[in-house]
Amino acid sequence: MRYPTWKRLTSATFLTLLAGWFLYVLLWPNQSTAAGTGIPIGQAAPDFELQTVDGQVYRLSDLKGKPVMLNFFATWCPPCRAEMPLLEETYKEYKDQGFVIVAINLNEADVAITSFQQKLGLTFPIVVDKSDAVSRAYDIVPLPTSYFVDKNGIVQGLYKGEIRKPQLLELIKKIL
Amino acid sequence: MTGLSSYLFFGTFAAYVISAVLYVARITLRRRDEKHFELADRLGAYGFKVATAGVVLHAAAIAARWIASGQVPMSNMYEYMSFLGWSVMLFFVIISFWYKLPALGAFVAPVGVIVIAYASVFPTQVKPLVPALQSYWLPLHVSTAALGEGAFAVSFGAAVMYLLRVRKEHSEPWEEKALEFFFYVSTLLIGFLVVALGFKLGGYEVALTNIGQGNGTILYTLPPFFGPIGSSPGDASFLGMSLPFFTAPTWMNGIDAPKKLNTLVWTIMAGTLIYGLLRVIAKGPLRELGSRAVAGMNPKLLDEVSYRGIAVGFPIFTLGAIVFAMIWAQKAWGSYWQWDPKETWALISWLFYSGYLHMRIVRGWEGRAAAWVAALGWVLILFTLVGVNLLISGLHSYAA
Amino acid sequence: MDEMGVAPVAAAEEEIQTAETRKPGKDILDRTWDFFASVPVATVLLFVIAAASVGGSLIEQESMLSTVQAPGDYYAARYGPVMGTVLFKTGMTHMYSSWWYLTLLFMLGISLIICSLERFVPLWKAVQRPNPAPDEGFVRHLKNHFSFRPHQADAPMVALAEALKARRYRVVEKDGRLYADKGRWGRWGPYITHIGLILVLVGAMMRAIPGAYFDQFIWVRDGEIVKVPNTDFFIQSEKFVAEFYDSGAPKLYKTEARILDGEGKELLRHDIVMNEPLTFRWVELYQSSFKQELGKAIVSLNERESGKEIGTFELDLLQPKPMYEVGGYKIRVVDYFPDFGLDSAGKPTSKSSQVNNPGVVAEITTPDGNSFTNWYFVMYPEMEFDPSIPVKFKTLDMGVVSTTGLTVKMDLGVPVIYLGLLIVTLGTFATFYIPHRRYWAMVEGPKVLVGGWTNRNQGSLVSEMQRLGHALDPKTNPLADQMEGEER
Repeated sequence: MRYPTWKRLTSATFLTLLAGWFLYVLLWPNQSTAAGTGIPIGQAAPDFELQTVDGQVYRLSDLKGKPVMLNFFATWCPPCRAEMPLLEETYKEYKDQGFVIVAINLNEADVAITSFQQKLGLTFPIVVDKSDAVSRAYDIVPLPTSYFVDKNGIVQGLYKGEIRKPQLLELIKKIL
Repeated sequence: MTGLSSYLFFGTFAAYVISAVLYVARITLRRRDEKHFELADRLGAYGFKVATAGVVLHAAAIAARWIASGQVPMSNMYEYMSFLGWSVMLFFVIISFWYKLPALGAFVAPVGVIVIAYASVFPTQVKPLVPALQSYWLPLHVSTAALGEGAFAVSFGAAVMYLLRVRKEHSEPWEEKALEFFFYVSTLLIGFLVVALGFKLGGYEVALTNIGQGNGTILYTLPPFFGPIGSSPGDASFLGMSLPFFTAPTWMNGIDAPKKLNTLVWTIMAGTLIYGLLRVIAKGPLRELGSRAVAGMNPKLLDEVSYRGIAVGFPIFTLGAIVFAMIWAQKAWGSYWQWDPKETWALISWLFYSGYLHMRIVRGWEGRAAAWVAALGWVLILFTLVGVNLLISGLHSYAA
Repeated sequence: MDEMGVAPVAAAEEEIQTAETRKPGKDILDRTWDFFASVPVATVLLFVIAAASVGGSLIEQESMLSTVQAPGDYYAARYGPVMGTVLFKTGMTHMYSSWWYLTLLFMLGISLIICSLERFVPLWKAVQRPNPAPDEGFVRHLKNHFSFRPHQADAPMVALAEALKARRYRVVEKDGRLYADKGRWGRWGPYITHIGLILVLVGAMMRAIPGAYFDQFIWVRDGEIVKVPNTDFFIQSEKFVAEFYDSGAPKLYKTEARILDGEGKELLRHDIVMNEPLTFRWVELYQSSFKQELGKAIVSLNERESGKEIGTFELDLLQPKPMYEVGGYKIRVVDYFPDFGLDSAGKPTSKSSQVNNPGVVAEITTPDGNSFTNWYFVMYPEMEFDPSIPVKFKTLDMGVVSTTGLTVKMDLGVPVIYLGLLIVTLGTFATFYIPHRRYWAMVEGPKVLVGGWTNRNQGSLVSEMQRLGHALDPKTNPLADQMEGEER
């Protein structure tokens, strides 16, 4: 004599759920919860809406269909300053292929940003993360940190610290 | 009013000590000779009356402190531990009234005394509340949790009595060792309290420089056998000895770690001494003494009392330590659960007691196994209240 | 179990057999049911989860770390290469979100549901539809009895029924027999508790639903308007207030806040205090941090020779304006270094974004069109790079600006959790504070035999039966002394 159908159905449901859960665990990469680990590769980049010093609005969701590099920086951080000429050069080279760099400043005075931009001759947009919300959402610990987001808004690469040309080109290739 | 509260608190302390002594005297006399039975029972009846008076005095002390300070006295370790002691004694009085079981007093009243004595180790000044604690959830959460824990303490006492009672019939070797260890740990607690309160009354204090923590100083309230790194013999003295003898090892770099090490050494020394003395008096292991005290008692009843303590305490503990805690956490931190060590340990205790309640309905697990769980449960509670503060830090930093 | 009202041994009612009988012919579905319906399994799960939680509280968890190192490297350094890697790889370092801890919780959840289902149906029948006239042997075999000689021999149960009704029992009489019970809710207590716990777990799982949960943090400077993340409204902090006791301990942290819509219209004005978050459209804003920094300076422009004051202006040190006008002079802020210092190449730079030593490069245009460029250090106005120009800055006053740190949260699972907690509370109190007591009575010769049963507190049932028996028939039932725990 088997158990009544309702019992067997309940058993079957929970067994399926357990199996599904184990499958999920097996297939999903081991995720770390530590601060500063960043957004795992393969996950959607959190959307944001930030303004440049002149009040121009940038939304990540508006850039869908384009490969985007997000560069979190501050004007007072020496490695951030050091990598800027490389970013400018690369930006000019790949602009025609739709490549966009959005530099995200960690809430500094407008004057400091403008002066930084002019001194280094940067032509890509610089937006200001006034409330730290975006750098928190992207789990930024060291500066600079760069995210590489593909045309579908998925994070394909992450680089912490001052980036060099070979690594930069390799990461850009992943999102073009 | 604060002065009145202190006098009342002192009176409470005296009442609890007297009641514990009366109960112990009763149980000792009762094991001697039938002709002492009447006297013994009279002592037990006095013990109950004194304990009840202590509970009333204690309630008055808490009320006086409340009126004097204008805030519910539940905001620091002194006030909290004092309240916990009150709830231990309150539930003892209630449950021993229900069951007419005066022998319980010899095991639970000392627990009440230990908790109250531990309260007195902490600074007793009234401190105004910092913003994080300015919420009516603080007294609600803390007092309800403490009430539940008080009932658990009664269960703990009865469970130990049960284990001592049944070990004559059957007992594994590990149980023998564990019971003896239980007594040893209890004497360590007493040792710590004797030393800490003794030097507090004597007003012993010495500040030692601590290179390990950025050249700060550590204020020692016990003579420092172990000083911080950077201290040297002669910085302090005690009974003509030039202290500290040693400096703490360099890997102990937590805040106040050398002081904690020193306290631990003092505790072990004093506790071991007391344990040794008691063994000499008992002419054997303390568990034998304990077993003699509970000989002839009805194990079924002890088991029932131990269960009753948990049955009465569990809903209250759930309400205070889990439900109110989660609601307050949501209000204060924006998250009902954050795996803060204190929270986690409250959950551990709760799961443990839930496990106990389920064990009771499984055939074969309801006797000694359940009694061990009931006894260990209160050790977990104590660790949640004291050990987490000493060993693991977290958001509940007010208690430190 | 006696729950059908036929099995003879009432005391075994709540006992569950440890060894599940594994009959042949049970397939995986039946055995899954048996496994999760077993109380020993549930008990072991409870203890295992407790033990695992101990581990998580002793091993430093990743979420508590504040290090730039990759967590894997950190643990290798902290606990040794082998131990550290093992701990990290097995998820011991993020215990409470590790797959196996969640699996244990999941299994406990299944056990809660199946255990409850397994016992609920038979219990429902036994408690709500009891058999008032069971087998006579059943009544005789109950643990507790008393008997009495009825006053009215033709209606033997009347007095008993009255007495029980007075004690708020539900009384049923059938075929000359009597059945009475009270405290049925106590029997449902465990199931109510379990339903509450399942609700709590469901509420916690709701965080995984997209749009039902977010956790953000924002800084809002005094006067500033900031968009509240994940919403379409804005928050303005009119003022952050920090008060302290004489001892220096904090007394109050308060943000005087306004909620605004996209057009700047005020939707709500409310203070945010610790323990009293602001709630707006399911979103809650918590006072969780603050900073106070040098924010403004009152500066005067003076003629260098005569020292005569040309005019004063307020220089915003957090966000200097591009241009200030003073008495016909134009001051253009060319560059700004909030934390002035020199870099390795000896060039001026800012060491951080904190306003520690603000330095301004200013281009000053006189009313007659001459331009000069000079440095101005707010804290050290005497330090100038070019002391030859005809004007000079002086710092008259400096002011602090507060910035409040607010946690922004939405968690639609919270109401579900609160409801679950309420049910858990009701359930546990019902379980342990409402004993279910039952009496069966039957005529036995000239007397009436009453058997009693309870699921909790045997002692109080015994004393109730003594009192009942004494009231009905004092001769047969003299009041006895209550049981003492010690045998003489």
